[in-house]
Amino acid sequence: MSETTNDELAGIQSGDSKTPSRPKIAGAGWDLPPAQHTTEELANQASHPLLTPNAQRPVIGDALDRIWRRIEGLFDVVYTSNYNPLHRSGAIAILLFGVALVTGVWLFLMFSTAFPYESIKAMHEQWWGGRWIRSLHRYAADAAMVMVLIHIAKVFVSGKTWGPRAMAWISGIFLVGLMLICGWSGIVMLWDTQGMMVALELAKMVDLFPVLSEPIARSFAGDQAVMGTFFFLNLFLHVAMPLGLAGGLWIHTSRVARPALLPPKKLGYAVVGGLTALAMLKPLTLLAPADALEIPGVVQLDIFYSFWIPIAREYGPTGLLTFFTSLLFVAVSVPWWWRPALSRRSGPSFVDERRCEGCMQCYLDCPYDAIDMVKRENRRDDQSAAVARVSPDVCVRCGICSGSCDPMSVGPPNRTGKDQLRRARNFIQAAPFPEKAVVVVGCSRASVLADKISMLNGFVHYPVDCAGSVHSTIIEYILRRGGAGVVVWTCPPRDCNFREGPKWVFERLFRGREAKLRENIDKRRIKILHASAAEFSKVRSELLAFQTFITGLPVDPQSRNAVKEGVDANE
Amino acid sequence: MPMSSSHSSHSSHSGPMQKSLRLVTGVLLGAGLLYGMSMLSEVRQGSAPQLSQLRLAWRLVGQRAKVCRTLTAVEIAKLPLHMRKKEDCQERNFDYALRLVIDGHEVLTRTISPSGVRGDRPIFVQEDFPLLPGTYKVQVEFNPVDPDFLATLSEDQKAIVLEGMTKSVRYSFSEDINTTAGKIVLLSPDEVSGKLVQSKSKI
Repeated sequence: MSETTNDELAGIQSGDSKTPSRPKIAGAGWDLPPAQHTTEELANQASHPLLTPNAQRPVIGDALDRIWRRIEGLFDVVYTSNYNPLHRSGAIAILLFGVALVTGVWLFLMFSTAFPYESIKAMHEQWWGGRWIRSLHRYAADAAMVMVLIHIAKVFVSGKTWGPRAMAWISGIFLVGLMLICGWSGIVMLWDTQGMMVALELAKMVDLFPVLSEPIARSFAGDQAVMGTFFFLNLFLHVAMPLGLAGGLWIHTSRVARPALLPPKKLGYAVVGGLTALAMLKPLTLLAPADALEIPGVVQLDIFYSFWIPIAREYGPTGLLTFFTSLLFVAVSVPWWWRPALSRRSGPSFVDERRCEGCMQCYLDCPYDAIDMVKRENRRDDQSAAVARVSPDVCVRCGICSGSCDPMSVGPPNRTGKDQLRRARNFIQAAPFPEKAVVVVGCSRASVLADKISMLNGFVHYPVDCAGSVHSTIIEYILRRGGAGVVVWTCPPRDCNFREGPKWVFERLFRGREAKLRENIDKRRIKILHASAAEFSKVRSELLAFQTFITGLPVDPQSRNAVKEGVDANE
Repeated sequence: MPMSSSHSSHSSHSGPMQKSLRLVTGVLLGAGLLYGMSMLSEVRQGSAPQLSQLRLAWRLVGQRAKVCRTLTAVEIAKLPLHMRKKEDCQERNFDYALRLVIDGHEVLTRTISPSGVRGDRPIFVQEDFPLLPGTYKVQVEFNPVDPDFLATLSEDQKAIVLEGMTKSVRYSFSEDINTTAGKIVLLSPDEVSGKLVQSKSKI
């Protein structure tokens, strides 16, 4: 295989005479290698080592991530990666919040602050409605907490806790706090044995602060009836908290473009249907009414919200306060202690403004709204009025902008389109493709089974950081350099570490989204495959089917020989 | 949007058997997880209490004395016109001494001050004493005492305060109580008689 020339690369980039050419790039010079960055700042950024964006976490996080992937893999096998609930934990939590909201309206209408327990008991006796609606309300709240905990664990092991994502982490902790308060007030509303215990222990803890002249816990001593105003205030708190949750959610997702707030419909129906069936088949039991003159013995607890009761019973209000304070401190400080060492951090994306055409594509594609279009300074006549600019504080270094920039002028250090092209050239130079090879361009997280791919006859594995950041030119280049076909193996769309990688790569390769493939490329030779590493059996059968399919295709005029001939003719 | 493949010619690799197996496994796993969650929604915690408890709990307001001193003409003249008054008065909420004796053993003596930063809020009592189930002779004394305040007063004023203390609410209780495991015997003032009475759980 002959060495790729700069002219050839330029041909790939600008198009040939037979196809509509892309707009000419102002000041573009395909002087490879090395990558050219004109300003001193860009040169400094380019000196960053190549890093896999999926691994920007502490070293110990890699081991945790592997364990987590195995657990997720089990669910992938059963539910497929499309409907794996672990991939959509945050969205499912929001859906469950909605379920609790809808069922809560009915409970609100039936609840009496004057006779809290009696009104709940009346609901419980309605086997046809009240009992299962109340159970569904509680189960939805419990399941929401489970999904939130899964969400936290996933974000933690992925290392999405620091830098630009610190705000999302801290606002998430704030949301969990609001959820707990909402849950506690809901449990207290029942005024059963658990409700009273939650109220009493929390009151004792609050009483440690000498703010109120009358200790709250005294309200539950039994010498006087608990006032109706207490239940009214508690109800108000329970109803008002969801408003705070909605506001908190807005902050939580504010740094994400196009947040996916709901799970796929089928998954949503399955979750709600499953919980409804559970509520009907196994409704909650009605506990004994609260009695201030009874020593709490065996108490039934909702572990998702009352998990702290054993601590309060064992160590008293001071122990409980210490526990909550420590938990809060550890959780809030995560962005400061769970972050990768400097050597494991990639630099943020940057824009080579000389080449930027102001097309806004990177601005539109960025999953984190980290790119703005600003007015170009010292503009030449042949340059666009606007130019893209990356906010380094918001950029998560995913590199998805690298794939969206037709003139290859944006991306993280060493991961721009130009860098990708140089790497592809080196890769092919080092090991030329065998005859009729199918090249699997695999995202670093999905295709951890590279060796298994290489063992398949006629397949070559070409690793990339994130499939969403792959410039379409790389696919084109591989086809022209002898690849009979290209399979882009991405993470499952619902589990992309950077949210929109699979979506954009599909749009670019098949829907004409910039940076699109040129029209003379035979798209039948390209396949996008969404699967996790756990779905390798599916991947293998899809790969083999694709190999069979392209074997039957006529010879591609854009193949290696055709290009070589064209280059020879030019020479 | 068909995201799974660029080639419609590629059908899914899994056959109907595999799909059915996956469906059954998925339903069973989901049901198991939901059942597990429902179990965690109602976890039994703790153990049956072996002890009983004696609780003293009440709230007392307005037990105070007002001590006044007549201002001299010079003192009045120093005050702005709109603030002139004949007397300078001090109001004081009494401290109370609480004493509890069970079967002849003094288990508690405490001086309880009114709540609030300025000591002008109600007095609260809430004391819990674990007891083995059984019958006990219980004596409670709750009387106003305020030696610190009295020491600052003249003899005339002291007499006024002591009279106020005599008229203020006092509680005393001397009865047998019978306690059972897991139950709390509450001693609190009866709303009608104003005397300490014992009450138990009605459940």
